[in-house]
Amino acid sequence: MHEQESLMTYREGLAKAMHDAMEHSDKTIILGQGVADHKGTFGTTLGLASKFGDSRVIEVPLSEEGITGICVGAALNGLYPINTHIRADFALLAMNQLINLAAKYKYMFGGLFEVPMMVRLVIGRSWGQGAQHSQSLQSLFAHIPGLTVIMPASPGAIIDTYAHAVAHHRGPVISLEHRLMYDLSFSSANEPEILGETPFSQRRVARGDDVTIVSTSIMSLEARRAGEWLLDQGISCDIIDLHCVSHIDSEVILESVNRTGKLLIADTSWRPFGVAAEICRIVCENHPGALKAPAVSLGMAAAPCPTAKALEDLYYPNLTTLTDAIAKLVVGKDDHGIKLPSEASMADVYKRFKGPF
Amino acid sequence: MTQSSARQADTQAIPAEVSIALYRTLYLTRRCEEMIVKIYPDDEMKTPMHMSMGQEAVSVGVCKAIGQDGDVLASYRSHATYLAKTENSHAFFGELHGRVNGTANGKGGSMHLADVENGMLGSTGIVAAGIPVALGAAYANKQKQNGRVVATFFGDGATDEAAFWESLNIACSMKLPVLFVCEDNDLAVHTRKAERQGFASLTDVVRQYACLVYEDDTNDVESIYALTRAAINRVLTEGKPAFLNIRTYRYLEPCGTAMDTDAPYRSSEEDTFWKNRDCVSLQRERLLASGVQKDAITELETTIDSSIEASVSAAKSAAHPSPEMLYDGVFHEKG
Amino acid sequence: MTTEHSTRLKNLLRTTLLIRRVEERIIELYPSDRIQSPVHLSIGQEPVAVGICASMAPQDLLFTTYRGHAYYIAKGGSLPKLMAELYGRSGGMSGGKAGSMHLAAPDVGMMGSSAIVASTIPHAVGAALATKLRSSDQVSVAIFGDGASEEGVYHESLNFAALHHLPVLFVCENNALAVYTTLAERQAYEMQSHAETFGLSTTVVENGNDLIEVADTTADLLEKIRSGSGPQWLMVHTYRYKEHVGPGDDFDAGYRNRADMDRWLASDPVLKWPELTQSFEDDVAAEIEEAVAFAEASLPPTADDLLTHVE
Repeated sequence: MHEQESLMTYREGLAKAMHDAMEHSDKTIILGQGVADHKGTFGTTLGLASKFGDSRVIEVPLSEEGITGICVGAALNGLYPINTHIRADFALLAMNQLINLAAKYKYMFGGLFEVPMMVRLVIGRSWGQGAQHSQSLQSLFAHIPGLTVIMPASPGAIIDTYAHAVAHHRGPVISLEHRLMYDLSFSSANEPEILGETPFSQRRVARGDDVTIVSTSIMSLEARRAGEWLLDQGISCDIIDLHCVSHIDSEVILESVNRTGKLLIADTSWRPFGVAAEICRIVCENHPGALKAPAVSLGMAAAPCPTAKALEDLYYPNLTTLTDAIAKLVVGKDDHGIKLPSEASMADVYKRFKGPF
Repeated sequence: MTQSSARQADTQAIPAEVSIALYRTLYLTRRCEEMIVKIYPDDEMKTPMHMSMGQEAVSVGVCKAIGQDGDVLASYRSHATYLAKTENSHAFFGELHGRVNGTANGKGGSMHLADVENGMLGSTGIVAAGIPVALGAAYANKQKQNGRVVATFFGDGATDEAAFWESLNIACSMKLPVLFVCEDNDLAVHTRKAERQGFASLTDVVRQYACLVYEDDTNDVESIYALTRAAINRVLTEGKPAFLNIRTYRYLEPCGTAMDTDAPYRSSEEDTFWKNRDCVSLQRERLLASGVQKDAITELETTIDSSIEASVSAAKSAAHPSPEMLYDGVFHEKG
Repeated sequence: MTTEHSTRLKNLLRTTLLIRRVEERIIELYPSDRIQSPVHLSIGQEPVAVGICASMAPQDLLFTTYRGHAYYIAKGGSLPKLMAELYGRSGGMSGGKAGSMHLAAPDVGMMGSSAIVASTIPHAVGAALATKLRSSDQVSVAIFGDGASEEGVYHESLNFAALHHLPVLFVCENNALAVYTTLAERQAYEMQSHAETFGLSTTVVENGNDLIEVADTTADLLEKIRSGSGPQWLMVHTYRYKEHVGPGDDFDAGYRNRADMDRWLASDPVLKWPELTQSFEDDVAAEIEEAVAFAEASLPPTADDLLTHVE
């Protein structure tokens, strides 16, 4: 291990980010179901209630819309609320406050108000979570002007971005945290390079010349693993972790696509109307001639999530399908002759494999 | 805890065969979940389990009172409600195993059990989300004038939710034949009512609405059964909804199959109090006291145990859903 | 009536009259299409807003609804900016981005209004949570109509405020109508006892036209809250003279009778003291014309403004 290298899990990154946010200012409050209980939101808010008091770490009723509105009001009156949902799906009960109120409060009043707040959503995917406990809803939120939507894919990204949001960003931030990453360990030496001015910027996971891979959340880890596998076989991938899906720096995407001529998007959600569609829009509108082959996208099957393992494994992309898709795109034919890793289930892999990344 | 002599009078009117049927279903429900606890570590049931254990009397009492003359919707803590309404342990274990013989061909899992033919209209993983759905079903029944009631089961946590209050008002305004069944275990995950609710008594608030209000804290399936029968009669004759607040107790962790008796949110006094009046044991003792022979009970239990074993075997040997089934059931399918 | 009362009543009445005349001016202007926004007029309900706002302290915060003209004016928002906002001009308080339904003036504690029924109620609760954390003597006031009490978020908000003993005053402006639907068609409960069982102290003002009673009751409740009573709930009965949205009357629509309005007209403060009212008319008219002139002269926002303040 390199001297300066340190290891940290995603969960530890979240716990540190929450602690830092509370310590940064006494205006920070955390509200959510389970934030003050003995499990502490999957361990990310453990100990904060006893350290900072239950007036700042607030256990809430199951009242998603009301609590979100309360966050808006608290933000209007000088606090920085962080609202947690142990499943992203539960935030659908708060869509009125998130979309009609929080996202619009600055613009709708011509800049009279700001609503600095953060909503942490856990994408519940592990196994068998089914249709209402596993959804990856980034494009739903990213569609709404006024919301900043992030999908941090490493502890470094969490710590930097949350600190930036709490200290400097004056609008609502929605963060989607992927539960499959919580126990994974990450090496500080591998922290992706930030491709821009602020922690909201895109990140480069790997540099390569044969194909551009734009990925989100845990698919950035999968893209890294696929890229490492393919590098041994002579294919180099330029992997961009989107990180902030609502605010994409087109130049970053176009620079890469211009270089590689090939584009693959690997998202954690459905492909239609989502991140994949948005990246294709950016390329088509700005540089349609850059692509030397049709773009390819991977995401969830266009159905609600089934619980049966036999179907769930088909529902999500995995290392094998991702590597195969990249190989097909780079080689230019289905019969690409590239050896593929054998991994039919991402969830199974992360039960055993805990990193470090 | 109150002891009502009127309630005891009610339960005395319950026929012996009903008492036995109540026990049979309680036992089935309990044993199915004990089977889950036993085989869950084998990792063949890949679905998160929200266990009913401890709370079975609510589902069994209410579902038996409704019988075939009504429909129910469950919360994500759906096992007892599903089994009480359908008694179908085959489809139950099939679904938990993600197989084609499950209630949803393996697509739903533990939180989404349903059996429309037997009046089990589904269960949902979103707190309180099934309540307005029950209103819609009840509205349809009212339009059809078919005399059916719909019971919607939810926990006390659901009464924190906007949808609960909206539904309560709508059901009362529209005079719908619906039973609101609050399985009040005092806990939303690990959080007590006192940490979530600003009001002293939920039923005091609900009494402000134009509905019938019933309460029970006995954990006694016959008491719950009798109370539900009374409620159904009045719902149908008086044309207004009923709200049943039934105190109960969750034995296991909120999600998963382990005991968490030593977790800081628990109290050992409370645990002892409720386990001393375990609903399955209470009913078994009642049968013995009423003169049912021990052998007869044992025989009934053995039969149920065998059928559960058979259900698990059937599930394990049933086919996995085929890849072609992945898109079946999405509302808009490629024509 | 004592002299002191008289001065106080004069002030309250003048504001009431100003709001009435502003709304009437809006009705006049409306056919010209210069007002670029649907309007939910306050006519008939002005005394409620005037009484409540007059009793609020400068540090108190007001969260209100799409029927917000009366509150904006009563709380002390700039009238020229209001007219310019209705005109969709850059001189509006929100540069023409808000229109009639989203009036705000944070400099005077008017914290915004929303077109979604009940949606600002939790904002008042959240603001009160912030106040409690700071231990200041600020109170947040949530204004909503009777229709809002049917919304789930109303219950979520009452519950949280009671649970945390927050310094918030809930004010139900009961005009007995949600758009065109009467209370009996919508509510299977009685609002006051319902709020009581949620753990709130409740008070009812039967005649919202009684400026002094609304003001005194509000002052009393705000004082209780500042002394640590926890949340209070106030219902003020009132009457909407005009259609739900738009400048017209709608007594031919069939959902209500003109006789209902006549009962309210009998206590309408604008009509009750004609001499007093008359003494303000010229002043009020001049103030309104100045505001209209400001709006007329204000420039429309430009393309440069389209994407400012998104985030």
